[in-house]
Amino acid sequence: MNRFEFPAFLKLQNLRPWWLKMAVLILIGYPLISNRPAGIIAVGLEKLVPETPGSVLALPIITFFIWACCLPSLGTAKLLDYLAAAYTMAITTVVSGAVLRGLLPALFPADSADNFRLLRVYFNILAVFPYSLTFLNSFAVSNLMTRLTKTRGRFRDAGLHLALALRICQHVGEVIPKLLLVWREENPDMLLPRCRDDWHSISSLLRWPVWIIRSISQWIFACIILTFEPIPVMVNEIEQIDESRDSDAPDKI
Amino acid sequence: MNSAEKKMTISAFDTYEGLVDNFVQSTGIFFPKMAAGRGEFFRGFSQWLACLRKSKPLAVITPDPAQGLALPNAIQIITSALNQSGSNSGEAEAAMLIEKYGLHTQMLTQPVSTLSGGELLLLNFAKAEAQCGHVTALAACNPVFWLNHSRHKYWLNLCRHYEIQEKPVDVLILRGDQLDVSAGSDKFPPVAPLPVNLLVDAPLVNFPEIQFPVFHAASKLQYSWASGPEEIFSPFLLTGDNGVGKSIFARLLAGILPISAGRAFVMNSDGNRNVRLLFQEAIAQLFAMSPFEYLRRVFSSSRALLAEAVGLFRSLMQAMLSKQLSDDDQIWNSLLAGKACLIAARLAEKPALLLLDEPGWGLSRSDAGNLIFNTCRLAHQLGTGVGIISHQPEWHDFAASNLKLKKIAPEQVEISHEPI
Repeated sequence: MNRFEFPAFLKLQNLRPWWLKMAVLILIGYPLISNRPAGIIAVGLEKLVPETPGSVLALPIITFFIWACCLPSLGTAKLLDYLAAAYTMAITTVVSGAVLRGLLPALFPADSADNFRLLRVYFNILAVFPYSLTFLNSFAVSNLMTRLTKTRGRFRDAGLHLALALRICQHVGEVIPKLLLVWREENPDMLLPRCRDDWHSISSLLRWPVWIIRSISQWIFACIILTFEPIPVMVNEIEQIDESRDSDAPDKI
Repeated sequence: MNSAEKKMTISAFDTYEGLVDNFVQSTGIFFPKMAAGRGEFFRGFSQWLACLRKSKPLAVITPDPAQGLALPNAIQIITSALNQSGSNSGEAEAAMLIEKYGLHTQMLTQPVSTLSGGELLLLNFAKAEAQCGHVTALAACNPVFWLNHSRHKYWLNLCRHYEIQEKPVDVLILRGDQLDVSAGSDKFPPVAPLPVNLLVDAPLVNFPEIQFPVFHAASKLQYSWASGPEEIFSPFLLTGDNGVGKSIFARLLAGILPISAGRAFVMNSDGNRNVRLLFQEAIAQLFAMSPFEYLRRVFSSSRALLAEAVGLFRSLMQAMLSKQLSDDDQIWNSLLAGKACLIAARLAEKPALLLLDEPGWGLSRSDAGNLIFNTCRLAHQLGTGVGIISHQPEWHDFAASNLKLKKIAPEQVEISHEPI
C-alpha cells in the first residue's frame, strides 16, 4: 500500500534557520496564548451564520488548525498517539472538574459560564498537548550544542542552560515509552493490576479507584526520577563544551 | 597483556554499589543507585546539585551504558561529540565512526531507547573515540559485559586509539568480569532439568516507521524454528550476536510486543502459558522503588501472593548470602536485592517460564552465578522453567538446552536448538 507522504517543506523540523522555525511555531501556537484569534473567528462566524454560537465553535476550529499544522511533522501515527494521550488527559480533567463542582457546590458556586469554561479547558488540552510536544522536539539539541561550541560570551552560558532544559523536556517523551513497556509486562491489562485476588465483586468497585490513584502517583515519581537520572551526564557534556572555548568564535549565536 | 591495554588501569569491585561509588568519586558525575528507592535518589541528586563542581573533561562509559548517551539518537550523539573537538563534522563522519565499531548505519536515526545493551555499548565506544581529541582520559565501567566475544576487538580498538593519543583509560569492572584476569573460572552445579514446550510458528514483529523528530524507516523481524524438538529443557540459554533480536524474541514470548503474523508461545505440562520477563534494564522494572516498596505495590491487591513473594525474596537472599539478614541490612537496597525481588515477584505467580535477560549485569560473577543457580532451583521446585539470555560463556556449562539465534537474512532470524 502506498503511504501518503507530506512534502518536506510542510515539516516544521526542516525549517531553517532556527529563528524562522521558532517564529512559525509561535505563530501557530498564538491562538493558545491569546483570546484574540478565537474572538475574531467567533465574530466572523456569527456574522456569516447569524444565531450561531461562534465563541463555542471557535474552540474546535482552533484545535483543528493546530492539529493540521502539526500533522505533516508528526505523521498520522504519531499524531494519533499524542491525541490518545491528550483525550485521556482532557476527559479526566473535565469529568473530575464537573464531578467536583457537583459534589462541592459550596467551593464551586453555580455559574452559567462554567460549562463554557470546561469546554475551553477540554479543547485547550487537546490542542496544547500535541502542539507542545511538536514544539519541543522540532529543535535538535545537538545542533544547538554544535553552535555553542563555536560561540563565546554571554549568549553561550544562556544557550548551554537552554540546551540542557530543552533536552530534559525532550527526555520525558523517551522515558514514557520505556515505562509503558515495564508497566505492560507487569500489568497486561494496563488499567487493572495483574494480581487482584483480594478483589471480590463489590469490593473491586472501591479498590480500583484506590489502585488507579496509587498508580498515578507511582507513574509521576518514576517519570520524574527517570527524567532526572541522565541529567548529571548531560551536565558533564555541557560543561565540556563550556571548557572548549574557542578564542576565534564570534560573540553571538 | 595486549599492547593496547598498557596504559589501562583496571579496578575490580565486589558489588555494583562499590563500583558506582568509585565511579562517582573519580569522575564527579552523580550516578544514582536506583534499587535504593526514591528517597535515596533525591538525597543523592540534591547533594550533587549542592556541591556541583567542574569535573575534568572525561569521556565516560557509565555503569549503565544507556545513561552515558544524553542525546536521542546516534547521529546527534556522534556529531555533537565530534563537534566538541572543534571539527565541523557531518553525517558521513558519524556514519563512518559507528561502522568502525560494528554498528549498521541504519542505526544512526534509531532512538537510543530502542537499542540493545551491546549496541548501546558499541555506540558508547564510537562516542568515546569522537571525544578523544578534547578529553583528558576515558573512564569505562564494565566495557565488554554486553558484548558477544567476537566483538571484544572493538574495545581493544578504542583502547588503542586512546593509547595513540597518549590518554589513560581507567576501567572499573565487577569481580569475575571477562577483563578480570585474576578471576578463576567458577563452575555452577547443574540443576535437574525441567521440560518446557516451545512453539515457534514464524512469528513476525513489525516496527513502524518513525517520522518525528527524525525519520527512521520501518522494519520487521521474523523468527523461524530451524531444527530440533519443540520440547526443550530448562534452564535454557538464548544466545546470538549483538543486535540479532534476542531481547525482541523474549518480549514477544512474554506478550509485551504484538505479533503481526504467526505465533510463538511456551507451555508447561499443566497447560500454563504465562511467561514473565526480567528486562536487561531490570532496574527500571522497580519503578523507582526499593525492593520491599516494589513488592507492596505489585501485590497491593493480593495479600496471599504478597506473603509468598516476600517469603521467596527472603529465602532467595538468604540462600545467596548464606547468612541470616537483619531487616535494616544495607544489602536489601542493593542491585542484587533488586533483581532477587523482581525474580521473587514473578515466581510467586508460578508462570510457565521466567526469562532473564542478561541477569548478570551489575553483579560480580559469583553473585550472578549464585542468583541464577538459586533462581533455577527455586523455579523448578515451583514448576517454572527458566530461560537465560546472555553472552557470558560461563552459563554454557550450566544450561540444559541452548537456543541459538542467527540472522539468515536482514529481516529473518533462525532459531536452532543445540543440545548441550
